[in-house]
Amino acid sequence: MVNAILPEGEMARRFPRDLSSVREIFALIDDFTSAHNLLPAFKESVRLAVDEVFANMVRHNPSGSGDILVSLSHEGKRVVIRMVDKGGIPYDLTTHPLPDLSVPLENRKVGGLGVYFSRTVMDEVHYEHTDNAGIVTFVKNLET
Amino acid sequence: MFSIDTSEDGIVRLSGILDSSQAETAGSVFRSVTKSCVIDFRDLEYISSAGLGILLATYKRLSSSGQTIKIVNAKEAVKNILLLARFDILLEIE
Repeated sequence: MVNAILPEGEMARRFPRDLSSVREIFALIDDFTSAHNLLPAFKESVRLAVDEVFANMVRHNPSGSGDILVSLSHEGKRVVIRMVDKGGIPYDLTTHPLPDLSVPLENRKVGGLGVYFSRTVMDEVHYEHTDNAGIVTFVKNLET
Repeated sequence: MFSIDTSEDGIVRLSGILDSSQAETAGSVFRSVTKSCVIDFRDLEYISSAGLGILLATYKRLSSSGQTIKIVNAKEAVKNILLLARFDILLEIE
């Protein structure tokens, strides 16, 4: 149910708050990548960042309410991806401590990689909590 | 679509998309692995941090008893994720 009144170059859809939605989110990302003739590397980065944040919203924001909105907008030489999670408690992934990847694997803690991935594969990551909604905004610069 | 199976020769084969929703499926198989094994990523298109968490837990559990795991045939996209997570330090990525 892509919204027909969205601005040109934008795709958006609401997804049920369930991990099984990830497959449909990937389909949206694939559609956007194809529609804008973007490189596979773009799709791979966006899949990783959005999957990780969506999983965090589902798992760690149990008091969130309703569906989670994912939108992608082609704006010149960059793509802006927004994820809106209504309700729940604020969680700013931009200030979350990152795992120490210099630690040998046998001493690593499980967890924290998702936030690291999201912040590493995107060119910009922003978070705001406004109108009772947590909003994550990614910016991915397009290769020329 | 995601699938995982093990063969008698100790090879664990994964295919499809190992996203957050499929981690438990992978985890249930890896928890049954008790000896050194080869993990074939030839047909794996994607792996999330949840999937890497399963690999890490398996590696730590097996290494405590002198066993190990080795990843082979990873596609470029999956290999990039493994390298990003610094899983190249101890895992053999061919």
